[in-house]
Amino acid sequence: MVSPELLGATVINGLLLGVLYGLAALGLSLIWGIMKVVNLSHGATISLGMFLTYMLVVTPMKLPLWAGVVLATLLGVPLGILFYTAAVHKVLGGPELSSLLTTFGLGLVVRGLLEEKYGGAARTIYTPGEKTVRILGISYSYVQLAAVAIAVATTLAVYVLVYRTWFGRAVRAIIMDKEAAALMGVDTTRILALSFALGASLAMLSGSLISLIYAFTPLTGLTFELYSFVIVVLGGLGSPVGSLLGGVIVGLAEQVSALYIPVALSPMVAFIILVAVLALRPTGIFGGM
Amino acid sequence: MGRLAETLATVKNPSALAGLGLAALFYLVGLLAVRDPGYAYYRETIATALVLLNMALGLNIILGMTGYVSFGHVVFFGIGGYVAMALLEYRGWNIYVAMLVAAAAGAALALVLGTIVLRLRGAYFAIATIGLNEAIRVFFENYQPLGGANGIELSVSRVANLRFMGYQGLAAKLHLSYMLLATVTLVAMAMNWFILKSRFGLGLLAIREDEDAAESMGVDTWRYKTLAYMLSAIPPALAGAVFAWKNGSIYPHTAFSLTLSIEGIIAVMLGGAGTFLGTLLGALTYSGVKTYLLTSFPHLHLVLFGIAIMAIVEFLPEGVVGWIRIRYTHLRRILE
Amino acid sequence: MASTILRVEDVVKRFGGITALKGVTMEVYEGEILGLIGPNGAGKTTLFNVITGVYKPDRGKVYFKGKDITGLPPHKIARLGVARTFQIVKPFKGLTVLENVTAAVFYGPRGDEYSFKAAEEKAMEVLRLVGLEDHADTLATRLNVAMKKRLELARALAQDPELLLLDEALAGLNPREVSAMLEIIRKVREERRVTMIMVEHVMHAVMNVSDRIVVLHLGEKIAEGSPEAVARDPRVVEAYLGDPELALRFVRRLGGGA
Ligand SMILES: Nc1ncnc2c1ncn2[C@@H]1O[C@H](COP(=O)(O)OP(=O)(O)OP(=O)(O)O)[C@@H](O)[C@H]1O
Ligand SMILES: [Mg+2]
Repeated sequence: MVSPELLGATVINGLLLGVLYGLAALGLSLIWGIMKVVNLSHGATISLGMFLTYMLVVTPMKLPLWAGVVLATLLGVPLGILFYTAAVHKVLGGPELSSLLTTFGLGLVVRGLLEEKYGGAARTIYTPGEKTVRILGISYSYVQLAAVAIAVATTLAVYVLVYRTWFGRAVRAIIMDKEAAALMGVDTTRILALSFALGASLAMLSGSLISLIYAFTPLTGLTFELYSFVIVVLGGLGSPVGSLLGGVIVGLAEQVSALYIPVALSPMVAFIILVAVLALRPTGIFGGM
Repeated sequence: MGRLAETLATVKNPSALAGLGLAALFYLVGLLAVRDPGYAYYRETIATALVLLNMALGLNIILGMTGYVSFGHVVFFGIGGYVAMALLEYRGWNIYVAMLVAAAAGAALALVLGTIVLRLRGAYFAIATIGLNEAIRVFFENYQPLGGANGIELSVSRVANLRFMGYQGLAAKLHLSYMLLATVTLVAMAMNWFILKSRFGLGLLAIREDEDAAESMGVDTWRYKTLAYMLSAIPPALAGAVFAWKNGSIYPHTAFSLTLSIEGIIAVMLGGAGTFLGTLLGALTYSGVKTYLLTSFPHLHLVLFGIAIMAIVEFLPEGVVGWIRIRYTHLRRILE
Repeated sequence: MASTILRVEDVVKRFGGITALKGVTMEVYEGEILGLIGPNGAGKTTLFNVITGVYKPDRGKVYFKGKDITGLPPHKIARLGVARTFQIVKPFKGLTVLENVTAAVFYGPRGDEYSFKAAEEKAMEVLRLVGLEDHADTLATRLNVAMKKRLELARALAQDPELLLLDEALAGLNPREVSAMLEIIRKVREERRVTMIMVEHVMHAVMNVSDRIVVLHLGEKIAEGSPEAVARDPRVVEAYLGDPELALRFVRRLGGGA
C-alpha cells in the first residue's frame, strides 16, 4: 500500500517535474501552432541549451548560474533565426513530411556536433553548498525551485506575448491567413523567423534550467522532445497554458504511476496517453485555451 | 485481357526488369561469397543495404503510395525480429516458419495499431506512430520473459545442425541468412511492383493525393489504408526476423531504433516517393553514402547526414526519379 | 412525370450552434437537371455532403432510387451511382489527367470489371467529351482553373453515375469558359442521360440549363419550380437581397421578361 506521505511527496515531485516538462514543450507547441511545423530539432536544441550552459558556467567559462541561463536563452534567438533559415523557410507551406525531415536533419547536425565535442558520457552541473528546503520529507534545492518558478513565469510571459502584444497579433494573423496578413502589411518572413527564434530560445531556456538539476547527454533533449509531443497533443497546439497543464499532467502521471508499476515502464504511460489523446481528441483536451 | 493478367504482364517494364536484375545481383554476390570468402565484405555491405531497402519498400507502400508518414515504422522491424527470435530461441522452431509467423505478426500488429492511428492525418499520424513505437520499445525493455533490456541471444546449439551449401552451424547460418535476406527483398520488391501496377495501387495513390476525393470517388479509403498499412509492415517484419537471426541477437534499443525508420523515409524521398525504381535507387544510394560517411568521417557523419537530409528535401523534394517523372511525363511508363 | 431518382426527406444538419439544414425535403426526377441555388451559406454544399455521405444528417433520410442511403459511407454511395464535383476542386495533383480519370473508371459502380486497357480507353473517351484529350499526360497540378474544373467533371463522369452533383462547376470561369462548360453539360445530358443537380451562383447559366430550380435560404427550402416561376417568387428575390449584386441580376432578369 502506498502511504499518504509518499503519495503526497510523489505528487509534489510530479508537479515540479511537470512544470519543467511544460516549459520544454512550450517552444515545440508555439512553432507547431504558429507555422504548422513539427520541429524535430527541438530535442537537440534543448540539449544544446544544456551544453551551452555547461560551457558558460562550468568550463571553459565560470559565469554565475543565472548568467549562464540568461545567455543560453538569449543565444537561442540568433540560433533560432539561423535554424529557421537553414531548415524551415523553404519548406513552409509544403507537405508536412518536408518540414518533419528538414528539422530532423537539423537536429542531427546539432546532435552530431555535441556528440563530436562531448561524446556520450553524462555531465552534471555541480552547484556546491546548495541550500535546500524539505517538503514532505523530500529535499528540494533552491535551484530546482527557482527553475520551476522561472518556468511558470516564462509560460505566463509567453501567454501575454502571444495574446496581448503586437507581435502576438501579427502571429495570429499569420496563423489565420498568411496571404491576408501579408497584404495587411505584416512582414510574414520576419515574424515567422522570430517565432521560430522564440521557440528555439524557449527550448534553450528549458535545457539550461534542466541542466542545473539533472545529469544530461547529447541525447537527453530527445527524451524531452518525445514527452513534448505528448504534452502538446494534450495541451493543444500553440497554447502556453495548455503546455503548462499538459506538462503537469504528464509529470504527475509519470511519477504517480511509478508507485504502482515498475519505474522503467513509466514512459509507456506517457506514450499511451499520447496515442489515446490523439485517437480520441486530436485537438487536445485544452485545445483553444 | 483481364486486369490481373495485365498487372502480371508489367514485369516486362524496364523498371521491373531493373529490379529483377538487382535481385539477381544480390543472389550472385551471396553465391560468390559461398565459394570465395573474399566476397564476404561485399556480402555484408549489401546485407546492410538490404535491411534498409526492406524498410524503404515497406514505407513506400504506406508513405510513398498512400501518403501516411509512418515515422515509427521500425516498430514492425522490431516486432518481426522479436517474434522470430522468441520462436527460434525459446521454442526451437526453424527459421522458415519463424519468418512466416514474424510476417503475420507484423501485419497483425499493423491491423491493431492501424485501427487506432489511421484515423489521424498528417503530422498527427506521424507523431502517433512515434509514440506507439516508443511505448512498445519501453515495453520490450521491461518485459523479462523476452529478456528485457538484455534482449534475446541465440544459443549456438540452436543452429548446430543447420546445413547450407556445404557449410554447417554458424557458418551455414551466415550464408543462409544472407540468401534469405535477398529472398525477402525480392518478395518486397514484387509486392511493391504489383501493388503499384494494380487497381488497388491506383486507389492508394488517389488516397495520397486527396483522401476525401478518393472516398467520394468510390475508394473504400478505410479498408485500403488498413490493408496498405498491413502490407507495408510485412517487408520490415521479415527483414527484422532474418536480420536478428543473422546477428544471433536482438535488443530493444536497436530493434526499435527510430533511426532505421527515418533512414527508410529518407531513402524513399531521395529516390521518389511512390515509385518502385526510386525506392530501390534511394535505398541503395543512401546505404552506400552512409557506409562511406561512416568510414571516412566516423565523428562527423551525423552532421553530414543532417545536412544531406536538409539538402535533399529542400532542393529535390520529389526525389530523383520523382523529379524526372514530373518533368518528363512521357517517361512515366518507363520509370515507375 | 418521370420517376424519382433521389428523395431527400426532412434533412437536418447541425454544426455546433449552426443549423446548416433545417428539415429540407426535395425530390429529383430521373433525367432532369435540377438547379440548386441560394445565397452564400444557404446550405447547398452541406446538402451535397449529406447526400453523398460525407456528413450523417442529424435527422431525416436520403433515398436513392428508392433505397435508403442515409448514413452510408461516401464510397458506398459513390458505387451506387452518385458522383460529385467539389466547390474547391480536388484533383489528384501528382497524377496525370489520364491517371486521374482512369482511377475514377475503376471505382465506378462497375469499375471492377475493367481491365487497365479498357479503363484507359474509357477514360480517354471521357476526356474527349470534356475536351481534355490533348492534356491526358499533363500532371493535374499543371492545369489552369478552367481545366481543373473540367477534370473534376471528367472524373465524376468516368464513374458512370446515374446522378451527378455539380458544386459550382462554373465558379471562377470567364464568360467564354462558362459557355464551353455549359455546352459540355448539355452534351453530357444528351449523350449520357445523367440526372444532375447543379449548385450554381452564375444565375443566367443555371436558369437556362435547369429544368427545375430549388432555392435554399439559411438551411430552408424557400421555393421550388420552373426557372421562370422561381425568378418571380418574391421570397427568392428577398432572400437574395442580402447579396446586392445577385439581387440586382435577379431584378434585371425579371425586367427582361425571363
Ligand atoms: N464542416 C463545417 N463545420 C461547421 N460549419 C459548417 C461546416 N460546413 C458548413 N458549415 C456552415 O453551414 C452553413 C452552410 O454552409 P454551406 O457550405 O453548405 O453553404 P453553401 O450554400 O454551400 O454556401 P456557398 O454558396 O458559399 O458555397 C454555413 O453557415 C457554414 O458556415
Ligand atoms: Mg458551397
